[in-house]
Amino acid sequence: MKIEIENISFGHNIDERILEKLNYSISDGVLGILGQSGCGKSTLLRIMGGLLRPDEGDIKVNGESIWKNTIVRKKAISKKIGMVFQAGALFDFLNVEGNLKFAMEATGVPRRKWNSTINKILESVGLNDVGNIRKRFVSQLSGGQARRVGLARTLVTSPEIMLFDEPTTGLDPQRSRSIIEIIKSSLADSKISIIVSHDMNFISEVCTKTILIENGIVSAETNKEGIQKIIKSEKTDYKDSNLNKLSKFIKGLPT
Amino acid sequence: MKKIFLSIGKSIQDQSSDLGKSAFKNVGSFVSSIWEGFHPPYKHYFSEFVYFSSSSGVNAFGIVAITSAVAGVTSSYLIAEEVRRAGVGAEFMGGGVTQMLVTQLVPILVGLVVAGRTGSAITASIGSMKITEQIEALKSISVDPIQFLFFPRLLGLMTVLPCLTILGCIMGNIAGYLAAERVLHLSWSTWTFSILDLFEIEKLYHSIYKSIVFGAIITIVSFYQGWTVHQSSDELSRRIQIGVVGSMTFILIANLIMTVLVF
Repeated sequence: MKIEIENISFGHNIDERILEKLNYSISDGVLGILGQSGCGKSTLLRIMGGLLRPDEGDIKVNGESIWKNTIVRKKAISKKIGMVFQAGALFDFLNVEGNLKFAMEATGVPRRKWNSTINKILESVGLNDVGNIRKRFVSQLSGGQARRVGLARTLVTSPEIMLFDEPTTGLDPQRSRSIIEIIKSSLADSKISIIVSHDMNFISEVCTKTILIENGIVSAETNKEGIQKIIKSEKTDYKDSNLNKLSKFIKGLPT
Repeated sequence: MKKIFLSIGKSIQDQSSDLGKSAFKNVGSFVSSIWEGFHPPYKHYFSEFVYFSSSSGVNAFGIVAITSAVAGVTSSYLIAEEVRRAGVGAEFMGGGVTQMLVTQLVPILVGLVVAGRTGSAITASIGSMKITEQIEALKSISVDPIQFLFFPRLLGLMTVLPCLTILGCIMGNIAGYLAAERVLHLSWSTWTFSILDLFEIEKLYHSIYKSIVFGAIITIVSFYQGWTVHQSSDELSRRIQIGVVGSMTFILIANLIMTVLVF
């Protein structure tokens, strides 16, 4: 499986583009996307997921275009892609079980498999032992629980490509660790996973490739070893505020 | 000639504000989403349609009944006073009041009431779904949000508004008779015969057609306002206001056009 990002440009305002003719391609594996806040990481993820139309350019999945294709084909290709949203994005008119069933019904999972799938997925995201979790509504869930249910809702549809939008941002270290473990165990089920995150430890643990987005383009890329070198290095401050240093550092690493 | 048009176009483009540009982009994205909704795979969200129609219909029932009754009493009372002063025309009261209620007052009042009540609810729910990324989440699990959210609401209001209009006409008529009876001591049979003599049933059909158009206007305007929310709940509250005022304005304009040009 392969995803090609071809000359993607996008701006929330017509005169101000955050992505400018961005090109990249990824074959099977896990890609991490780094970059400063507002650089267009999440926007790129949405464009790849078929959720946001780019101003220019196209995304190809196995050579088939998403944005320059017929609407019917676009919908068919998008079905292969699942997205995990930052805050879960659960449907507040449904309870937890309703959210999972709704996703399964929409993606054509046979009705007879619903219950067993829900049990399996809730166990894998560590929610099976939470009392009466199936009947709880979004307002009755903690932030971490909502994210795990959001992750479960994507997992029940078994997508070939999984996109994660900052899945650990804003969580305490313990909850963040549990989300990372769940994501690590779920990565094997999808052929390509793309993760947007600020968490370098998370990226280094799960990603086979990492790219850095700066000024609307992919400014640097490295492999797993490269990212682990950054983590071990004491010289490089890789915090969000100091991405220039990170960019220079990554450019010197193996790809 | 081409150069002149190009320079005019460029100067318009340069001078148009960011607001105008983003409004243009919003309309474009909304229209393209609607267009996508017409494409397969088709899923029928019949339960959404039933739920929305029944809830919006039942919830608006009381206020529509009260508003129409007040309109019926007021118009009938004013006419009855004139009839009493002049001493003639009581036999035309029923037909006249019914004509006024059915052709203009009730469809407009019902449209305005539903625009304020249900239209604002549509903008609020769609806008909050947009802010909390639920619309994108629908797309990510292959649910077309237009098929799931827009079409059931559109068909729902286009069905509910005519029903409410008929209900409003009945309530207005009964209330109108009570006012006439009080002022002129008019009998029910005189009132009814007047309606049968003077009222043309086509006027009721026109009123129903109008209310179908009003239902479409309310859904499109309110849904668009919710759909194009980008930032925050502050923006959402502003959008709700714009949605209600916009729906009401378009209803009045559409009524004027239909009254003058069509019916």
